[in-house]
Amino acid sequence: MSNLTKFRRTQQWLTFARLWYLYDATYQDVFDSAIVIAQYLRGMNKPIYDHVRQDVGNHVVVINTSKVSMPVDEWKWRMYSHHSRYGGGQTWAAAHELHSKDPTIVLYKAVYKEVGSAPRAVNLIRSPTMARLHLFPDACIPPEIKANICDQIRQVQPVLKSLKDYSEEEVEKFPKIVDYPEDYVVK
Amino acid sequence: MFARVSNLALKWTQNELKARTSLYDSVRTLKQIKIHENEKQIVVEGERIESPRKPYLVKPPPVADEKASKACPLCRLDLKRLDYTDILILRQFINSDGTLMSLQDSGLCGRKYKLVQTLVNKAQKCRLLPRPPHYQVYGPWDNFNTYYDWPPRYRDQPMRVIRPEYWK
Amino acid sequence: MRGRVVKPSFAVPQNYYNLYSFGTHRIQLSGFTEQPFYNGLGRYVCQLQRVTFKFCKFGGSSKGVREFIETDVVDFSRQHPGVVVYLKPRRHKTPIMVTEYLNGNSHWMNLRNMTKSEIKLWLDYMRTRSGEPIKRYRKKIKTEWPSIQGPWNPFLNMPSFVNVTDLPNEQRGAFISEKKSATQQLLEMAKDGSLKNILKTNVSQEDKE
Repeated sequence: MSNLTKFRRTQQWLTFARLWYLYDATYQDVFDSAIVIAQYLRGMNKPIYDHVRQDVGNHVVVINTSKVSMPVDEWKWRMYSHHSRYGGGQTWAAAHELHSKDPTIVLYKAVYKEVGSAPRAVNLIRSPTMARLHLFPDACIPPEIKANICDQIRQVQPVLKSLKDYSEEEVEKFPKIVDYPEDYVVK
Repeated sequence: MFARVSNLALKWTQNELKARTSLYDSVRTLKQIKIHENEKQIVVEGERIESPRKPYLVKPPPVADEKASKACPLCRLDLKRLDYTDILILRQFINSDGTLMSLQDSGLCGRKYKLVQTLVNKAQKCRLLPRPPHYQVYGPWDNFNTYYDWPPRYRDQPMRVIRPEYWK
Repeated sequence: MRGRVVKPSFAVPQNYYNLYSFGTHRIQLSGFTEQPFYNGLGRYVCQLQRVTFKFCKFGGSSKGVREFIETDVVDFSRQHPGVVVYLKPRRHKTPIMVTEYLNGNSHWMNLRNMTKSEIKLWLDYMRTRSGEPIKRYRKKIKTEWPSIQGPWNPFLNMPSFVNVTDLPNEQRGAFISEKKSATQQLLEMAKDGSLKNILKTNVSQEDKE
């Protein structure tokens, strides 16, 4: 450290700075977005990424986790197991049950799986990596966390818009393909 | 157009009639219903109104072939990859309560009507369009956010791995 | 059991006769390129300080060493007065040569069954060496300034509007689809004018015309 000048020391802090990314999870697939989030958590988006020597991970703040989506009926089929270490202590819960209890836990488990499915060196830094993940069920973020955020991760899917999301004028002025037939009563 | 109701209508009270015709009084009706009351009889008149779609109605590009010009409007428009997410198009073929218009009312050909029917069902499954009044909801999973992916991916198929007695 | 003991490079003591300094052994030192002070400019200083010959007075394997001592060692020490030469007769041992350098490194070498001329060449080689161990270069290049532009930082090539705007921002974070949806196609067709209004009265007028 003594050899470094002040300028080069600050430059070193700059290259190894941990960024805070924001991710909006509305209508995003849980498992696809977990892959992307895990890459940012481990710092794989950086060219200086090294899975052996350094931990260059980022922070990721995920909002609207209660609005995540799965393919049709996967809320029903996706099961999560838990074992209490007693005999017959294994319990099973579907994804919609977990999600109704805690709207962040489904995404947390998906990211946990993605972070851990890497080479052995990552398993040692799994818990500090997961500690850098901040999940919020809705859009409000605490101000001390919001002050750190400096970039946003691009979403994985288009956000589906329901009919309520369009304004009345937008719906009315949209080009109409067919007219009502004669003697038709609109309900 | 007139509908003369002599005996039956006398049995109805005034409020009942209004309740029955309240749906028809909205802005979007094509026929506005007017009620004339005499001592002996009540006359219910359906007055025709210009449709609200008329200023925004579009005509597909002209076709030289006569057979092609007789095709249904959705065929002549030739929209690529019409999907369940295009709810502003699909909305034109359903009523406000979410029920689908009949084939004759929609003015589509059979194939396009079938396509629209499936897409509307998909959109209602994903809660993009209003669901019809007696839509069957089998569990809480039907009310979470879902989507259809194409081509479909079968990730690890937990429904095959996990025994059915653990399904809840 | 005598097996090969592979020592890591950092375990090699500096002052011991360095078996690994030539790189012929299984273990080879590794490092980066280094340059002498002032880029080696200035007067020449012979880096070799001390040469020790161990040999046997009777053994056949040290015959070449004995011949070298008889003929050439005195000339060598006269030509190079900065180098100390030790001659150590050791009974029934193989002849060796240990060269010690100014930087503290030393090199052990076996002279078994070598001829006089071979020893002369090896000694000349050892005299002209800098004493730095021969090592494998981890990188062939070493610079104080690896990049003129400066090292990478996470804010490189990031658009500057991100600093100003309030996140989440739709322009930055929304998904970009490659293909146009049907609603976009219809809106564009309506905007182009390829679709016309068909008010029924208008149509009838157009047809009549």
